Amino acid sequence: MIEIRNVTKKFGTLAAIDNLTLDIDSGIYGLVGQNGAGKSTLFRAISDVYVINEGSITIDGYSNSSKEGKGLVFFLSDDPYVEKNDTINKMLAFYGNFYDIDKNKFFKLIEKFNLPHNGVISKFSKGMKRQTFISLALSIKTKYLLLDEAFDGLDPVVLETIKEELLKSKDEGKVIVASSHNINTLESLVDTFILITQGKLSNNDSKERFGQNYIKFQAFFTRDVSEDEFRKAGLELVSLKKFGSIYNVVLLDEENIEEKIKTIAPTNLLERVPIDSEEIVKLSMMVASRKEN
Amino acid sequence: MKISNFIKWQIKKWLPLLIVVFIFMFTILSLDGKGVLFSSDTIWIYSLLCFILPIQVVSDRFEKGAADAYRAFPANDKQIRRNKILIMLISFLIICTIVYLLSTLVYVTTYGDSTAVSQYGYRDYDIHGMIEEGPTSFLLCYALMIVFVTTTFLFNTTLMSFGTSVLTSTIYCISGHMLLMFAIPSLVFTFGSMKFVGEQLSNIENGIIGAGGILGKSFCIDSILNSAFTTIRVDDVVLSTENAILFSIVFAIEIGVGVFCFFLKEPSGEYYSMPGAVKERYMIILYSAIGVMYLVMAILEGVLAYSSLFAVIILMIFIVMTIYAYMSLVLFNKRFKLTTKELIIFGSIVLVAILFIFINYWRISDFLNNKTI
Repeated sequence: MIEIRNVTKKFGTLAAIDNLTLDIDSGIYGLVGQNGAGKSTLFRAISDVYVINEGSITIDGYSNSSKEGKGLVFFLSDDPYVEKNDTINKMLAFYGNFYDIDKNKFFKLIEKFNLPHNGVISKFSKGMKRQTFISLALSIKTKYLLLDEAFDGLDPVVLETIKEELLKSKDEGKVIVASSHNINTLESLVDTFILITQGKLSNNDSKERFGQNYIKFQAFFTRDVSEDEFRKAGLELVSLKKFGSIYNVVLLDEENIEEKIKTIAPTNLLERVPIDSEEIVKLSMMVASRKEN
Repeated sequence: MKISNFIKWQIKKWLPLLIVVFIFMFTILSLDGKGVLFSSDTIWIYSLLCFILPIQVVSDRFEKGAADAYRAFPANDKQIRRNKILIMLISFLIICTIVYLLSTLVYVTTYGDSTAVSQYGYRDYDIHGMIEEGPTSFLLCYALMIVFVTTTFLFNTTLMSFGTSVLTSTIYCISGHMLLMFAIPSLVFTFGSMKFVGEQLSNIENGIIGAGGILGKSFCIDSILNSAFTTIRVDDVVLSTENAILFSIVFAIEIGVGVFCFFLKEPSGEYYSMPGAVKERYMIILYSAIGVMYLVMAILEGVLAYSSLFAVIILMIFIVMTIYAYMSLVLFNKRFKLTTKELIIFGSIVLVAILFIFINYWRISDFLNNKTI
């Protein structure tokens, strides 16, 4: 288990991670948050690329800065490092100096993605580079895999293959933490969502429970309603949008919520509608930002 | 970390560079026709390479993305660097040895007959001289070269590893050499007696200048120290209380900086490729170097003021050092204006330096006048 305890990482006076506590145990985690929320910094703190200012990180009991701890984790950054003019084979030799790599698996993936063995990686397109490095990450025999913005720039066919491979790795016992702005991709993959806002942990729930506290209604009121009226009715309003005569209302769940809505204004229509993960993430970010401010 | 794989991989990567180094050294040392392998005339080649090659060793610090790989690898930064240093050092020593042997062979086959001696002449470490003197001289020269290359390379690599960009690594290296150049004189002035060390001074100087390499040569430090020591030998005037205190301070600063550097932590990944990273470390080493250089030069300026040539050279060194220090701060801070704190530190160093120029000038003039009378 990766145990992150009260970790703070500052750049000058700015805390990119602020007193964050988190456990990463098993399965696939989706790390989400706005740009600058601290996702990449958290990955770099776990893999000891950044030295943390406060707190502690242990990996299966070993310090994250120890050789043993580092040996359990492979971190794939959003812009992975490759030596200038390195081909796929040379890159494999470079990383092979430090990690155990399943070369058969690596070359199978490379062939699956139709990547040229002797092509210079720095001249690859963004998508090809991603495919190369994800192939590497999936072939490295570490228990934990940290993937930063791993799915960006990939076409749907490649993405599907990678998802399959990640699920296979999970079945083999690998623990994967992937950050992405592509929430729909994450939704089909992850077991747990971790939401970070301004360096703090806002939410850490299983996919099924993630966003359960948000209730979305479609409503038709007989007159125009305002945000203040919802608040006066004792409701915790998250979002209120009007499309034509129909309102989309998102509220934090509570008892007798429908009755409370009806006290605001008479309604001809009031029905619950489902919320997808992408919207939950957006709403969670909004709520967390409001709390911070 | 799989050491044997890493060694193979690293050598393969550096091979083109090592071949260029070999061709460069062999061309200069063999084709010059004098057979001078390791002397004050050729030391610049070794010094230059002992500066360039360490840059390659620590170059992973100069790329932002490299931190994500190198710092995350299951081997600590120091372990990886130690292996890289050893691989490069051993490769370079092998090249030096091969060049040394091949150059000797070329010289012997080309200028092996005795008439060549009268035609080309030979110097202290000339191969022809060595042939006549026997293998001891040849081996001694080789051993000196190995010691020089090893110490200078390790010293430079250590200093450069404090930097996170080519710029800061170079400034660390130059500043470190400024400190090193006066390490031995400081020790002598602090603890020694001039009479006791008298005959050994020239050897010590060679050591200092050898370690200082190009820097010492280009600043004419060897000539200045030679002359200063000659003057000092006239009397113990320089070993006055004030100077002894000052050199004690210089020595203490050097020890302090050495200890400070020894306990330095590896910079965190966010500093990689940042020219203005880890300010405390940068300022301590830069100010120590400038302070030591200013103070020692102030004493030498006072002692050698009677010689207009040396007085001018030392003044020029002051100017060069000031420009170096100012530019180092500008490049680090990314602004031309110095802060009040920086101005106070600089001003204090300059004032103390001026004070010591006058003290020493007055003492040496007084001594020379009395002697004339």
